[in-house]
Order: sequence, then structure tokens, then C-alpha cells
Amino acid sequence: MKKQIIILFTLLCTGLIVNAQKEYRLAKTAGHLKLNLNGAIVEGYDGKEIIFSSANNTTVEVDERAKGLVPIASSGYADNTGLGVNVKESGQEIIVNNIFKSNSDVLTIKVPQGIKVSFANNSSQSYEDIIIKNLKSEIEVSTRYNKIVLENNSGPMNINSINGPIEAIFNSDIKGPVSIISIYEYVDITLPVTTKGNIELTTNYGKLYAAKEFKIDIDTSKVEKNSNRTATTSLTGTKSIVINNASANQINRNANTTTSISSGEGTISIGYSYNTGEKIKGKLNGGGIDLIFQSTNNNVYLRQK
Amino acid sequence: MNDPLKRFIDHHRDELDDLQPSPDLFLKIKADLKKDRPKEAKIVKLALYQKLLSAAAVIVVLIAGYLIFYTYKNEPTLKGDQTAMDKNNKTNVQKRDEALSISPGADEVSSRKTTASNHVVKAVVKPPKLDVDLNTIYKDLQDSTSSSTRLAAILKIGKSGIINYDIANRLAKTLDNDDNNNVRLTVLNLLGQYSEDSYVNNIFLKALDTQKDPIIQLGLIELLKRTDNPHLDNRLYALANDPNTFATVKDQAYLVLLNQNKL
Repeated sequence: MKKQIIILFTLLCTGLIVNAQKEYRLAKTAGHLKLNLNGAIVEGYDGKEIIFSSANNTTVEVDERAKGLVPIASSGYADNTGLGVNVKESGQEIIVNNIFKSNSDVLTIKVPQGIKVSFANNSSQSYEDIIIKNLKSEIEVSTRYNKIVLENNSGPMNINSINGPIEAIFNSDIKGPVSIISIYEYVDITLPVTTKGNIELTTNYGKLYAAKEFKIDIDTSKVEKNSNRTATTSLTGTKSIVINNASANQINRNANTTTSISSGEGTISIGYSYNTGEKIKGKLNGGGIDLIFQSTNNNVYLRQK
Repeated sequence: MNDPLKRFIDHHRDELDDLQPSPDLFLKIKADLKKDRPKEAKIVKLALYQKLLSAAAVIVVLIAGYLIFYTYKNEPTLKGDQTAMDKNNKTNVQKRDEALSISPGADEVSSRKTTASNHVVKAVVKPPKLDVDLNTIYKDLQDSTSSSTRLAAILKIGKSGIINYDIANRLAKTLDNDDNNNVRLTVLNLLGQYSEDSYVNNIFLKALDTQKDPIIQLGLIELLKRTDNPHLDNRLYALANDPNTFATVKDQAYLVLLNQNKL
């Protein structure tokens, strides 16, 4: 029995499989981190280094034939981190690129709070979720298909995706402006009810939903219905809409009046249309930071934290 | 020089000057002169009211000329679906130079109001009190270090309600050159309120040729499809037939052409 265990152990050690978490550190406390990756988990922390680490649940087969050689790729980048990415400093910018376009390894990147973060992925084939959390600096994300998840970031931020859904959870300390736009997928926002902001909810072909606890002072001069011909409105002043405590409400609104209310489940829909969009501009709790949430072809959800 | 003829005339002057003109010759000449003489203009004395009318006419012409000149110098607002409206439903027009910052109490400016039929009527109204510093906004619009600063600048322009050709040009520049899609989409949203204006419409049409980002292309198609621009179809065909166009943009272009029965 002992012999069998020893042999198994030896085989495992001398096997061709390598399984370990790798790390790359870069001393930096300010600047702009530009990520050109397929996906990433970015986390803000109170440190003085940018720490790149690879998830330890993937395995890389070590090729004996390639010993003494370095992998090359059409991207032109060389792996200077051991994580399959190239990290290059250029002045205040730290630019991170994939060596291989199809790299599915999702890096975890810890970023000091003073560093601005940008993420871009225009690939239609290689994309993973991008998760950004606990950052207090400016964030820019632009993707085609990646799902974007934002947790407890303060902003300001500019987030857009063509075909990726965007989910964001905010704390009470938010710095504006916050602009979150998805063209074909939903935008799901969780905000504290006490947030003070100038909120703009827009959809061209979807619906707008909001929790009944939100009290939005809708500026009726800014209410637009996006039909084939744009409507001219000459309304002035503001109209305060208090969402009542009924179990659920769906409010159909046109440019002039509030129409019928029907019951539903859970949240309230503000502005609804099958064939025409809705754009609502208003103030939350008297107004404050600019919050723009838009989904051109899908729904926008505003949840209470 | 000796002139024999001259000397001869000089010596025999008395003999040669023996003839006298007839007495009525002068009268004949005088009569001819009278015929050719132009008639003296009749002096018409004006009545007092006629004098006053003349003076008033001159003053009106001067005022009209001043107003026309001043209006020509002012840049008009863009007509659109939704402009900054005051209580009387009039749009506000102000001229802005690049280095000019707006302060309250500006001189009266001429403005236009659009009626339901879009007939432009000139009226003179006092501009509203404004507390925006366009200089700062323009500077923020060009801040290359932060897209959020640029976005905030565009939102300020939107809130101020000020829009003129200068601002439209700056926004068009941002639409063309900014590297952040959220910033450019915000420009589209702002200028989209004036998409019925031909100047803005042309900005969008031009952008449809130059923009390569699918998000912006989709936004432009969405705005332009609501207008009646006759050049849109060609642009959409070009976009749909370009092999480099993103698939979703192609689909949207085809959809618009299909809805307009152009396929």
C-alpha cells in the first residue's frame, strides 16, 4: 500500500501538469490602467501595487518540446508577466494586452484606489465577463459582447456595451456623472433610495422599471416619446410623481397625462410602450449627480438597495 | 516769326473793321438762349406734417437697418423639437464667440419663435438670466484626461438650454473625434433634439459617413430615420453593402430601408 502511494505521488509530481496561481506585481499608485483583455475581475484596494493574478482553476500543459523557446503570437506582444498578457508602462498609462486573442484565462487585478481603469474588448468571438468592484476612481468600459458587472464603485463612470448586459450596484457615495448604456441588452441598476441625482432613464424599444420606493420628480418638459416622428412639446415646469404603496403598478404615460394603472408584480414600470420608446428625465431627492441609464433595445431596471 | 498776313491785318485793321452787327442780332441770340435755358424747378413748400412724416420715415429706415444688421450678426437658434422654452413659448437666441462668457443682463437680442407650422417669426425678447461659463465648458469639453469631465460639460450645455451654431460645431467635433462612446452618445442625444434642423441633420449625415464605431452608427441611424433627409438612403445602402460594417448595423440599415420600401 505504501509503495502504491509513493508511486502515485511521484507520478503526480513528475507529470506534465502544472497547477499554481501566478502573480505579477507593478508598483503604482496613480495613473491610468488600460485593459485590452477578453475579460477580467478588477478590484480596488488600499495598496500601492497593481497585482495581476491568474485564477488557479485552470491548468496549463507544459510542452517539453518548447523548452528554451518562447511563445509568439500575431498580436506582436511578448509575455512579460508569465500570465499570458503583456504589461507595458507608457508615462502615466499602464497598458495590458492579451498575447493570444483567444485567451480565456480571466485575470484578477487588484488596483490601488488612485488609479483610473479602462476596459475595452471589441472581439465578437473571445469575451468573458468583466467584473469591477470597490473602485473609487474613474471607470471606462467599452465592449461588444461582454457582460459587465459593477459592484460598489463610486464613479464617475462611462460604461457601454453593444450586446452585453450591464448590472451595477451602487453605494451611497457616488460621484457623477454616471453613464451606463447598452444597445441590445438590459441595464440593471441597484441604487440606494436616498441617492440624490438628476436621473435619466431611456429606452427606444423596451420598458423602464423602477422600485416603488423611488420618488422621481419627473420634468415633464423632458418627457419624450420616440416614435417615427419626434413630437414637439411645449410643456414647461415640473410635475412631481410619487409612486404610491400599492402592491405593484404599471403606469402608461404619454406626453401629457398619466393613464391607467394596472397591478403587476414587484416593481413599477414608469413609461411603457411596445412600439415607441420612453425617456424620463427627473430628479431623485431634489437632484444632484447626473445618472444616465439607457438601453436602446431592451429594458432598464432601477432597483432599491 | 514773321507773319505777313498778321502784319497786313494789323496795319489795315481800321479799314477791315468797317462793318457793324445789326441791332437786332443781340435780341435774336437772347431769344435762342431763352429757348435752351432749362426751366427753373418749382419750389414746393412742404406742410409741417409732411416734414414730420419724412423725418419719421428716415428714423424707421435707420432703425430697420440697425436691427437687420444686428440680427445678421447674431447667430440664430436651431429650430427643433424641443428647445429651451420660456413661459411665452419663445426660444432664446444668443450670439457666442469662442472667448465670450455669458453674464446676466446682456443687451436685448432678437429671437425667433416657431409656430406650429414652423413659420419663423422675429421678435425681440430679453434673454434669460444665465449663470453658465461657456469658457469653462469649452475647456472641459477638450479635457483629454477624463471622459467624465467631457461628459459633464456636454450635460451642462444641455441643461443651460443654450444652443447655437458655434456650440453645434463644437459638439460635432466631439462627435467626430472623441474616443469615448458614452461622450459621443450624449452628444447625439443632445443634438438629436434638433435633428429636424437641416444644419444638425447634415452633421449627422456626415458623421454616418465617417463614424466607424457600431454604437455611434446605430445611434445615428436611429436619429436620422425619423427625419426626411433625401440623402439618407444612399448612405444606408453604402453602409449595408460595406463588408466592414458591423452585422448589427447592417441589419439596422436594411430595416430602415425596408420600412421605407426602398429595398
